[in-house]
Order: sequence, then structure tokens, then C-alpha cells
Amino acid sequence: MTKCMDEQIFDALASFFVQEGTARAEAVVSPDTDIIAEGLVDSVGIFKLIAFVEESFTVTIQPNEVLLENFQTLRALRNLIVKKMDSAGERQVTL
Amino acid sequence: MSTVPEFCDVVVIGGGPAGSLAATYLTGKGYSVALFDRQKHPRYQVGESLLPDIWKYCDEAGVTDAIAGEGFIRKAGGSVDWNGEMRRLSFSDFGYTRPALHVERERFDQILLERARASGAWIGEEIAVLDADFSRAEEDESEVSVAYRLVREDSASRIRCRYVVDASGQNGVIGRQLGLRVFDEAFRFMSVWGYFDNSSYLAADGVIYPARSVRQVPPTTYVSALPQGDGWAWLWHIILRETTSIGLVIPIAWVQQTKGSVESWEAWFLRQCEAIPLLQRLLAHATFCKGSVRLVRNYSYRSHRVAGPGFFLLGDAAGFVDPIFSVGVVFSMYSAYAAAHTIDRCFRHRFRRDEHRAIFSSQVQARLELSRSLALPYYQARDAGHAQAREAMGFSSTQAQALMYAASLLTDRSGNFDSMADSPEAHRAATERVRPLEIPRD
Repeated sequence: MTKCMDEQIFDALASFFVQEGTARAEAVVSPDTDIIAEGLVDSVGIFKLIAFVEESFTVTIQPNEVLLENFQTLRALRNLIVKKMDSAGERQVTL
Repeated sequence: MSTVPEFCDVVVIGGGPAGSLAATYLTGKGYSVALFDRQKHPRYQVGESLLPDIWKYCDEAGVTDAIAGEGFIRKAGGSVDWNGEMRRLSFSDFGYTRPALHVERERFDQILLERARASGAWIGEEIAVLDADFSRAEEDESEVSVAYRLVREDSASRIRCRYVVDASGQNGVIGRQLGLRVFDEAFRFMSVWGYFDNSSYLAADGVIYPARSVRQVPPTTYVSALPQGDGWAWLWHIILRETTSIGLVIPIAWVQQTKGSVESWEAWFLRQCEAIPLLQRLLAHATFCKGSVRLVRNYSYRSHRVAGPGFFLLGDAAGFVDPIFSVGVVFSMYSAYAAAHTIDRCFRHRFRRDEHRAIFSSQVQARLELSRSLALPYYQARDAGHAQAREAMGFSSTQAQALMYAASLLTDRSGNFDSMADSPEAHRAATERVRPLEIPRD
């Protein structure tokens, strides 16, 4: 995974907060911001964020993955997304 | 009322906040909705204290202006008298900028129902849903057949749909049919309440104001532990535009001990009210509204499933706990949002319906469990669901955790919270923001 790819993922995730109006366009949500404690994602936002991740990265989030450890920061989310994209890639190769 | 449709995407049972908002959200996403309510609005409903969290759901439904324009009473926070200590809590201390409200629920609920109608949902009042047939709900194109009856007629008819949203409140039409409801046996409570005209009220400064000042000096919701209640029983005092709602939440065992078989509920209720000195001061110039006493037994319950093939349970139909923190309407609105979102996902990816439903269930159950853990005295960390409650707490912002902690501090229920939260920051913020209140003597 290249650094450039990481940046793209972080940028895409950060755009979610601008789209939702929970962060101003000029304010950058950093990869390690605690988006839950800061109130950037609440009980409603979590549903929207799951849908956003699934649609933006063409991955599927399983019910048992909706945990604080996967959603607390953009870095945690990025790790989940990359893991899913990697395993999807391997499946394609073996096919 | 136009003819009941034969088919729609979603049938919503119940026209309270959960049902009306679910209908509004779903029509907004382009689905056809038929909503049935067995009563005609406006209709009476208890539960008049609303937290500022309602606004984000109102925004989402496009009903904020209509609610704000109604001129409901804006409240400043809560005044809590618990075991001899009087303390207060203001939402503004927790970063809330929008008001909490005291509302006449018949009017509030009507505004939400009218919003659902304006959004394009078909609204059928005075229609009782009897049951639903889910035998084809798991087929590729989920299909559910719902039986209903116009309350003024005898014969039943059916409507077909893809999903049913049960927002029928304590009736719990679908939950009851499927045997999903579980009562909290360890928490056998009931509630008795009534109305008084011209009651004085407590403001955030601890001063007692006459009813006529309510527009100039915002009231607080006054909550007090009851003297013989063992830290469980409590009363609410909620001033509205024309009247004041006063209610008791009490162990059934206590009622059995104190209420004679010939004593009326009204007489018993008034006798309890007289035993609370501060309440008596508030009621010094008030008139009791004869015939206004009502009660609910079997007070606290949850559902062992809140969704299944073809159905979703919302609000009070999913679960109900001691309303001490006024979370009922907020939970209804939250579950309406969650259900509408999930149904949309199910329509888009029908082969992932089970996954979408599982996320809905775990989120809604966790939220309900969090409410239970904060509201039920003696809630135990070993209780089933504790882990879910912890997870829901983890998904709450520091600000929201601080408010929950402060509320539980006021009512000596913070032990529950301590086993739930890991945020020392929320803990500190809460402790700092709960303020002692001196009520001037007469």
C-alpha cells in the first residue's frame, strides 16, 4: 500500500464530515482525531458513515465489525478498509 | 380519507413520533408508505419532557420550523431533589445550544403526523392493525401481508408490503404477535399521573415562579425522590402552556401496601402529592383537574429481538424503561431514523438484508440497553446486555457521556454509569456541571 493511496483514503473519509456538515470545509479531520469523542460521528452518523464507506470503497462492513476500535479514528477505519480491499484483491487474483 | 392502498413498500403501525418520522424519512427516500393509527389525532399522550437531542431528527424530517413555530415551553434544564439534596443541571452547561421543551404531546405528535402526510405518506387514522403474515418475508422480494380493520367497521382487509415498521408504542402489535417482549421482573414499577392548573414552578435559579411567568422565566423539569421510595420512586413536575403534568413512578409493591381497595386512584394520587413539601409549595395556588388521573402498569420491558425478516420495532414498541431521563421520544426518533436508513439499504442490496438488519438490531439494542443501564436502579454489570450498553456508551461523544453521567449523579444512579464509561474527562465535566441549588424558604 503506497502512502499516496493512504492519503486518498484519508481525504475521501474526511470529505464525509464536510458533506455531513459536522466539520467545516477548511477544518481538516486528522487521521488520529477521535471522531466519536469529538462528536463528529454520533449514533445517527455511524449509520451514514458505514454506508459512505461501503459505497466509496466498494467494500462491505460486517455487523461484527461495527465496533469502536474500527470507527474511533480515520486511521482505524483506513486499516479496516485496506484489509478488506486487500482480501478482495486476493480473491480476484485467485479467480 | 381516501381508499386504503392494496400495496405499498412499507406499512408503519402507529402515528406517534417514531411512526411519523419513519414514514417521513422513508417517503423522502422515495418509498411508498402507508401509516395506520387506531386513534384519530390529536389524541392524548403522556411524556411531555423532551431533550434537545430531538432537533437533529426534526431537521432531518424538515419539521423543525413547524415545531419551533408552535411556541412550546422552552425549559432551562432540570431541578432534582434526591435524598435531601437539591441540585440542578442546565443543558447549556453541556454545550447544547438548542432548547429542551415541555410539550403537549397531542399537539407535538400531530405536527409530526402532518409532516408525514405532507411528505406523501398515506395516513390512515382510526384503523387498527390486527396482525401480519411474515411467511414470505424471506423470499427474494420480501412480501408481508398486513391485516387491518377500520375501527368503526367489523370486517378486516389486508394490505401487502415489503416491510412492516411497528411503532405502535406500548401496544406492540408485532412484538406481541411474535412473543418478543420481555418484562423486567426485578423492576416492577407502575406510573400514576394527573394534571393541575395554575401550578407554580422552579426556575434554574432555584426560585419558585407563578405559572404566569413561564414565558418570561424558563422553567426546569422538577424531579424529586419520593420519601418512602427507597431511592427508586420519584415524581415529575412538568409545566405546560395551560396546565402542569405531575406524575409518580413507584414500585407496585409500595402501591399494594399503601392503597386501600376502596380508595380511588385519584384520592391515592393526591395523598401522595400532599406528602411532598416542595410540591405542596408549587401547588399552593393550583387547582387539580378532576378526572385527569391515569396510570400504566407493567412498566419496564425490552424485546429479545427488535428486527426480523420483514419487520422492525421502533420506540416504545421495542422497549421502555423508567422515563427518569426523558429519553423516550429521543429513542423513538433515533430508532425511526435507523429503521428508515436500514430499510433503504435492504431495498438497495436485497441479498445483504440480514447484515443490514443485524447492524440495526445491535445498534438499537445497545442504545436501549444504555438507557436501561442508566435508568434502572440496581442494574448489574452481569446483566445480559451490559457489554452492549458499554459499546453504545463508547459510541457516545464526551459531551453526551458527561450529560448522561450528570443525570445519573443527580439521582444516585451513577454507580451504573461508573461500570459503563471509561472517560475520566466526561466524569470530571459532569461533576463540575451539577450544581447545588438553594431553594429560598417561604
